[in-house]
Amino acid sequence: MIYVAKVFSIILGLMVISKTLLDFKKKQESLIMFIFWTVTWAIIIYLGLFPAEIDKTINRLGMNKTGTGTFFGMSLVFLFFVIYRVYHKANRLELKLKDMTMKLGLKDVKE
Amino acid sequence: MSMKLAIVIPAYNEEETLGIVLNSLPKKLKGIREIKTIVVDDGSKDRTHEIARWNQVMALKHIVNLGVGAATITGLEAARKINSDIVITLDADGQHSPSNIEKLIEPIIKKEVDIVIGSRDYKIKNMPVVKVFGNLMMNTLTYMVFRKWSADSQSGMKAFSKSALEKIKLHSTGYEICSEIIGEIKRNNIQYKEIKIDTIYTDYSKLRGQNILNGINILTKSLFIKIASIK
Repeated sequence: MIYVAKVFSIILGLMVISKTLLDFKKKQESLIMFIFWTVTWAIIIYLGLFPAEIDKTINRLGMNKTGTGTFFGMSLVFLFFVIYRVYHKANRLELKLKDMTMKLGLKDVKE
Repeated sequence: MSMKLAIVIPAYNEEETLGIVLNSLPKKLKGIREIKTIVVDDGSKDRTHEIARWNQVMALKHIVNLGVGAATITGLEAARKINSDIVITLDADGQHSPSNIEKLIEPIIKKEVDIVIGSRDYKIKNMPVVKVFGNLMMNTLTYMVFRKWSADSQSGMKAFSKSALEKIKLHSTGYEICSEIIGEIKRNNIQYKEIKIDTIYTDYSKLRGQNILNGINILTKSLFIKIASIK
């Protein structure tokens, strides 16, 4: 199972890094964002390959009493919060775009 | 009393068929004093908008592609603004026969009902098997969500009276608009009728329209619409 997790994190990580590189080349993404996503996903691949590093980091941070389970539980809650925020923002933007497009489409129609 | 009819045609990348559809529209209809055609180009990348303009119809344009639902809503709103008494929607891919327009608007002219759904024949000789299966499934799912049965819930050919348009509130951007309309018929208790229409499936129109994956999308969005409408 651990090998599946490793392969999975490598494939996902490489997909994201190649996408961000392509977007950066097409000038659709800034240098800062390209570096941010590359470093973030490089760390995710590293942790996927060497999961024991997570335990060592927790110990180094003095959170060994907290435990890996609690750490991952908190991470999951945080990730779901981020997903909710992104969904909310995307939904609001989509509604605004829809209203604006429809208003523009109707602007020459006289009542 | 003679009425004003608006024919609303939402179109996305339909340069191949739009001209043919527009040329085949009736010029005169019994009980109708004026016919206004409204084409809503939903952010096409081809010459759809130009073709609509060359044909001297009311050519509206979405600057970005929003989906067939949004294009239909824009067309219905334009029809309301120009004070149409009856509005009929039809697809730009040539799937609907304009010769059916007269029989669809007749019950509205006679004030028998406020909405008429053009119901396609689900016979395998008329429709590809995958479309028959998909449409039957969508009818069932629409019934499960909105508790209103329609023999062709996904038909793009529908006629509306002015009062029906004032009652229904539509929000869908995609194909789920067809199911949403069925939901609105139920919510507003609107009198409606289903009339058989001709089904024209060319190689071109077979490639257009909905697929199975769209069906899942429609179901999810219809559920959201249903939940949002609960007071």
